[in-house]
Parts: sequence; C-alpha cells; structure tokens
Amino acid sequence: MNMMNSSPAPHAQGLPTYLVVDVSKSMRPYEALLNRTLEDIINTLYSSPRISEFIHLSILTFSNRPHLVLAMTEIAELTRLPTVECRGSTYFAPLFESLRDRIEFDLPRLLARNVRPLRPVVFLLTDGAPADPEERWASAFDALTSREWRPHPHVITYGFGEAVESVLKRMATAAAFIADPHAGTDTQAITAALGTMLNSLVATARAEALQVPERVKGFRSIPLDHVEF
Amino acid sequence: MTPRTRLKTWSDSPFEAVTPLAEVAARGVVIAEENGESQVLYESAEHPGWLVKLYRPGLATEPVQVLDRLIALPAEMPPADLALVDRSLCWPVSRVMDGERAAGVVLAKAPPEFRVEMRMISGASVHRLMDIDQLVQTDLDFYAKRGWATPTPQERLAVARNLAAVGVLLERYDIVYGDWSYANALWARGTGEIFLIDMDSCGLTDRLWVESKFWNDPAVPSGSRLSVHTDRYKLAVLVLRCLTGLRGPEPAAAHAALPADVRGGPLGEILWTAVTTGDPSRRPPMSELHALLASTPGFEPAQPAQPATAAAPSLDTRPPSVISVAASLGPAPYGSSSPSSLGRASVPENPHPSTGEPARARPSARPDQGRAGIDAEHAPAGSLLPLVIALFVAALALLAVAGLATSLFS
Repeated sequence: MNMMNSSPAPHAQGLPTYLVVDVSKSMRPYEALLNRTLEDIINTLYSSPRISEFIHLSILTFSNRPHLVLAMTEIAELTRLPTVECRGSTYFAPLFESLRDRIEFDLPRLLARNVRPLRPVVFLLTDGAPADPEERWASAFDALTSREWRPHPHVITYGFGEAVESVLKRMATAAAFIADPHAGTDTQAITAALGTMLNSLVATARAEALQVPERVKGFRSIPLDHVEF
Repeated sequence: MTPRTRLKTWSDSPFEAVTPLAEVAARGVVIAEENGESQVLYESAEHPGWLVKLYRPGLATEPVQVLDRLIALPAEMPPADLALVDRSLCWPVSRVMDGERAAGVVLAKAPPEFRVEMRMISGASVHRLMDIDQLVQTDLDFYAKRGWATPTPQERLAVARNLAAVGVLLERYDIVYGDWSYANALWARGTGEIFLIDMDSCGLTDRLWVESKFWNDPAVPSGSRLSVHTDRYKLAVLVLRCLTGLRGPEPAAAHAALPADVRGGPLGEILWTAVTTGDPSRRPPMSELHALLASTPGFEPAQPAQPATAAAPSLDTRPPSVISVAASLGPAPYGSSSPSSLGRASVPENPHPSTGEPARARPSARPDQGRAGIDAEHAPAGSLLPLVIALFVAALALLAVAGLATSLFS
C-alpha cells in the first residue's frame, strides 16, 4: 500500500506548548486570578489566528495528581472555557509522567493535521516545594527531558511563594525564574509570570521559534548549569 | 449634536517634532507591554487619542535621523497624499526623548471604525481591533462563532486595493515598510478602509530585516536589509491572502485560489510575478498592482486549491512530497530556529495520559478529564485503536521510504 500519497506532506510548523499550573491548596487564594488569567491566555489565542495556528496549547494543572484542563485541540473548537480548582499537595512525579504521556499522544496528532511540531515547551508555574521525594520526581523529570527520548521538551519554570530555587533550577532546561518577595505580592507574581508566558507565546508565534523570556517583572532569573536551547 | 470629527493621524498632532518623555509619561490605558520592539505602548493620559510607544533599551533601530525625516515628511506632501496619510497610516508624529536618549515615539490611536464587537468563547462580547489576521480565513464558521458577517468579495477587494494604495504612497517617497503581515494592518468592515500601524520602524530606501516567516522574501537572504523590492513581494502576498482568505506558507496556493479569470488575467499575472520571480528587480511597481486592483470588479474567490504543482516556477526545486517527509523523520535537531520534528511518529498503544497517585509505579490510567468541556481524547482506548494502528502503519511506511525502518527493530 502506498502511504506516501495518502495525506499531503506537512506544511506549517507548530509549537506544542504545555502550560502547567500548580493548583495545590496553597494556591486557593489565587484561584479566581488563575482562572481569569488562563481565560486571558485562551482568549488571546482565540482572537489571534496567527498565534493559534502556531501555538498548539494544552493546559495541565497539578496537585496530588495532574489534570488535563485543556487538551491540545484547536482553540476554535472550544465551546466553553476550562476552569481550575485548587486543593491538595504538590506532587511533581505524576505530573512529569503525565506530560510525557501527553507529548507522545499529542505530537502524532499534530502530524496528522499536517503540522510539523517543533520541540515541545513546558511552562511550569508553582508556589511550593515538592511533596514527593526528590528521587521520585527527579527520576520522572529526567525521563521527561532525557535526550534519549526524541521529543523531550524544553522546560521553563516560574516559582513564587514557597517555591525552592534549587528545585526550580533542577526542573528547568531553558530558563528558571523565582519571584523576588520584595518586588511585589504573590498576586502580582502570578500575573507577571502568566503575562510573560503569554508574551513569550506571541513572540514565539511571530518568530516561529521559541522565544524564551529574558526577564519577568518581579522575578529573578536563576542561572542554569546547562541550558539546552 | 455635532458629529465627532475623525482624528487626522498626522495633521491633528498637537506635538512638536521632539517631545520630552516627562510630557507624555502619564499613562492612560496600557495597550501592550513587552511586545516586539516596544517595552510598552500606552495612551497618553495628558493627550487622549495619542499613543506613546517606548522602545526596548538597546534594540537595534534605524538612525534617529530616519525617524525625524519620517515625522517631517508629510508636511511636504501634496493634499491627496497627506489625506491618505491622515486616513490610513499610523504615522509617527513626534520623537520622545528621555534626556539624551531617543526613548520612543508618539502615534495616533487607531480610529474607532477599525474596532468591532467580537463574541468570545464564553459568549461575552469584547470590543477589539479588526486586523488582517481576521480577514484571512476561509472557514465561514470562524466568522459565525464570533458574531461577524462573512467578509464579502467586495470587502476583500476594497481592503486589497486600499493596502495597495498605501503601498503606492510609500514607494513614491522611497519609504520601506518591511513588516507587511497579518497583525500590522487593520481593516474596517463594510468600507474596506485600512489602517497601517508600526510606521515608526520604516526605513528610507532600505531598512533593517524583520523576521516574519510566512512573509519573508525567498529571493533575499535572511538578515538582508529590506527594500522596496521586498515590500513589493510582501504586499503581493498580503493582497493574495486578503483576496482569497487563504493562509499557509505558500503564496502560490493563494494564487491558485483566485477565480480563473482573475488568475489568468493581468492582475493574476502581476501577482504571480511578484511572488515567484527570483529577481526582485523584476517585481512590478505597486502603482501597477493598485491600478489593476482598482479596475477589477468584485469577484467570488475560488475554493481553496491544493498547493501549486511542480510545473509552477518556484525557488525551492526540491520535490516536496519526499524531501520534506524525509526531513521530518531525519535526525535534524530540534532548536529555536530550525524546523524540526519527531524523528518518528511515536504512537503509544495507550494514548491517554497517566494520572497516577503519588509514590506509585507509573500507571496507564484513563485520562483525568479535569474541568474542561472539550476534552475529546478520553474516549475509550478501543475506539482509537484503528486510528492508532493506521498512524503506526503510516509511520512505518514513511520510515521505510526514508530508509530508516530498520532502526526500530535493530
């Protein structure tokens, strides 16, 4: 069977993008803010075909378990906006395992839609330290980001509140940022982080290549030992 | 009640050619932050209707003399040209100085006719600017979902014609715009009037390269200074996309979607030359394009066509169906600037994400639906099995073609 002509060769490139948000109970005071900001991000993609045709967005939240809040579907197919609830603790190992599963699931579907995926990117926002042991989440993270696994994603971390700098650094491959507690409130930190993510996505869509934020208002950039970018 | 007079974007400027930042530092509505070349774009609180764009420090720009020349130029224009500037161009009116540093520019806010109500996913409506991004669509549902009427062929033609008219003016004064794209032109429903923004980054005779992948001139090396010839290419691409609604990386596909009589006529020919010639100097001047658009009656765009066949001239002579597939399966690295792909279409037998409890072995549970009403991927795995098999077989077949099949089984 000649499969060569069964579907046209992929045309446009696309960036599989995973926005990952900590929704442990410590984030509950910011639940409304998270929902508003996520709505802004989705609405920006909905309003801008030039962005949404390049940025293929999926949103996951995590606490005790990861939750798929928005599958990597066409934004245009959305009929209602997803919302998040905050409860539980902050377990990273199931999240990293789930991300790997999602990438393996999503990328072939992009190809089937004639999208040539670039290396996926994960934007991760957290306010706390891991509740699971380091060997557990570090192992899962290493499996997610192993160079042996071809579609291993770039990971950019943002931390505020009780987030630990060394953990953010360990969980990042492209950039890591930690909020400066003297620069503003946690509310401002969340707004700045998600706003920067959105700006990064807009700039990325324009350049058709991942544009890593250089700075985030109210945050300090954490130097990484090795930047794969 | 006296009708509100529309602001003339250059002639009504209350500013001198140079404005101290302190005079415009008070911010009204912030339009954008950290957006492209600008650090912030806001409406001046002291001068409503006028926007202040402050540049990112250290950003490469044209020499300040170029901006000054642009600011002064409309004063030398004949009335008809000045009227077009005042109506359709967000022309820079003043250079903003922060001490000795050129910090930014003052520009007019887009007139209200370029704003529309848009229905969002939630059902709420927002008031937003209508840019070309919204015009270049062939999916009628796109407009219906947003509460908009589908653009008519007459609207499309009017937009294209008005864009070309602006192109003619710029070319007349040797101004290189450079950044023709989906985002940089607004259009008004019904009239097809247009409003070109980001005029402050224009060059005279040439200008700095601006990266915009679906718009880059294939006949010019990346990073080259842009010229009127590259503008002719980009404007021709923009016109094709406006006329047909067809997006995508290949202008030839949009050309193929023109009605047959247009495609085969002088307008189609001039557009084809502009987007396919390997010699930029052969691209017709914008005045010719504008004249043909002005003399073209309304038309119905053809259905979106397949990309142009190999018989059409192309700068890329590689047979696409083999090479691009091989590229997507080959060892090309991922990266920020290079196209990349998976290397193989990895299709797990269980496509659903794990949602395991902490401190357990990796499960293969059903996906956690979360709270979205749109998660379609949680259908039972069995219903997806035929698709999974088909994708896997397709991937194997493609790998076989690329000579890489043995790597899976070695």
